[in-house]
Amino acid sequence: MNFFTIIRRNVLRHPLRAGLTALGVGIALFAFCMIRTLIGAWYSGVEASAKNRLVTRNSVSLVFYLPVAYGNTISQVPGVERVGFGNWFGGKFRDEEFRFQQFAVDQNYIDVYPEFIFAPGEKDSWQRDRKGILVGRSVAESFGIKVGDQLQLTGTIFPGPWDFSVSGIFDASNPDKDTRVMFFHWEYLNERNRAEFQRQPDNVGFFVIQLAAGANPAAVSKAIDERFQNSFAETLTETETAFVQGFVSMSSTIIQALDVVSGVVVVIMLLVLANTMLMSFRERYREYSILKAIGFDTPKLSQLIVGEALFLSGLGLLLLALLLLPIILLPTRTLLGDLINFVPVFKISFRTFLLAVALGIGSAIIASIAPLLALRRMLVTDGLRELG
Amino acid sequence: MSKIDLQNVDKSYRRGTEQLRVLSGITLKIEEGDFVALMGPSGSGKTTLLNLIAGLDRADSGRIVVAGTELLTLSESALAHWRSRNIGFIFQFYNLIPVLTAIENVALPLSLFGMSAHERSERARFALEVVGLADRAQHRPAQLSGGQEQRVAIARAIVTDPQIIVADEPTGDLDRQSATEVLDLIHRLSSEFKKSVVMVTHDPAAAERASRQIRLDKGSLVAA
Repeated sequence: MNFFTIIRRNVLRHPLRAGLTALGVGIALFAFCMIRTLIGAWYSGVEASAKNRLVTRNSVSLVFYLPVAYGNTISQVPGVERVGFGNWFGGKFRDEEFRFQQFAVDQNYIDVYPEFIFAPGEKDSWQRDRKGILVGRSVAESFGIKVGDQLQLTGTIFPGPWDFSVSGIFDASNPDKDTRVMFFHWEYLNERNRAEFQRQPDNVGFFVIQLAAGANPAAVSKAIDERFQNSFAETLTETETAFVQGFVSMSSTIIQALDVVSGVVVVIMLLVLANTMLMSFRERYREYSILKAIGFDTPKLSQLIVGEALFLSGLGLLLLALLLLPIILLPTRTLLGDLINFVPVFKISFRTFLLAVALGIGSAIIASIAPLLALRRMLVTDGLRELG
Repeated sequence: MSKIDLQNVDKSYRRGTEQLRVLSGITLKIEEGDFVALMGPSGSGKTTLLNLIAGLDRADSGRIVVAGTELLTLSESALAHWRSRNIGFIFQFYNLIPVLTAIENVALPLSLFGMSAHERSERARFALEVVGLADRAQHRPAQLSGGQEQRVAIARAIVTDPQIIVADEPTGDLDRQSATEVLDLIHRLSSEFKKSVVMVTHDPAAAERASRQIRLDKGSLVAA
């Protein structure tokens, strides 16, 4: 019999209570991990964005366009390596709106994003085909799309049927990068726009700029915007990170609420654990006084109390690991179903798991404080008096 | 030198604003191998005196030397360490740890001694043999009778080979047959193993087994 045996047997003295407490800890930490991962997924776009890429848009709003000719001016600004541009398309595919993003882009746009990985020849094939599209892996898997397929999208901003041919399917080198996206030729959009819709042809929604090595993003942004000062379409240039952050912050209230919920979950877990520890201490008050009488000093008994709290928390962490296993092993699509449209990247990070472990351990220690204080105050003679 | 030597010991407790004097001017010597019964009516200070001798409580004044150590000079932690090596406790309600087996309960005080598991087990088994319960080593307290539980508690009290055994109403919760067996054992501890035994009891029959009876009344020794 060693110290751990005593701890284990004491904890399992009330199996139901120990089980329920461990269940409470496990589920609370599981909820914590899920919420943190959800928040992380929300910010995955920001994480995946590059600080050495700039986005230039109309200073009034993203819904106002900029002349495509701005691209030449921007490319002449010192510090600019490459300039691409794009338009938001917003079409329906198989009668489902906004299941993935669709952009009409130029060739440079693709080159500004080296994190997109294409099979050899796919980019060339796309360049050659006016109606060619490049489809992200997530979209391809969702809709069973293969290279060579013919697709039709229904435009919402640019109404009518739009026929495409799949030139390539790309992956992302960064797992945080969302591949629920499709690119097609801006020229194709512009031609039909000019001919059929007259919705500001020869204009684009935004420019993406790859900076030269060592270029100062703030200085380049300022220089670009100065070029178009007092023009009919002034620009606002910011880093891609700031640009994406702007989108994310639109839902900041939800994120803050989730943040609060994750905190509340941890507090509830702490209360459950603290309640069990205090109840257990009160029930065994006389045992502690006997142990003190036969020579166990306060530090030794404190080890028993903290050990029991850690054991309970450890059971909860074990349960957490079991609950997380399917989430780690199953593909995101199987796990989330249609929710994948909102949370494309949902992976429990090792950091989140470590944070949960730290919280489990920390909660065990905090939950021990009340019984430890009671133990410190306990007089052996009081405990012995209770025996009679 | 006496195993237990109390000189002019006073002890009082505060209850609200009132100061209650529990022991007053106690002077007492108990030698090695003595079996002393502390008797007296409820509230006479028997248990308080026992607690002072066992180092569970501190006197207000006077001098207490037990097993060669002046107790008033020890810190709480040192006192706990001293108790683990010098005092064996027997309580009225046995107070075994319910989740541990008999042998594990007996071995429990030895976990403070830094012994190997094997050595702890051997000594605990020997203590159980002394009390005649070696065959119940793997039983849990709930599987033992009251008398057997008390004998396991006695084994726990002697496993560290302390010089002094203190017993607070050790037969108070037992039937006559079990009480006799327990008293036989305690008597054997003083006569055969030369332990100094101090036993608080209300039971005159139990007190009869002691080599000496000390009576307390209102915190003072009546006869020693």
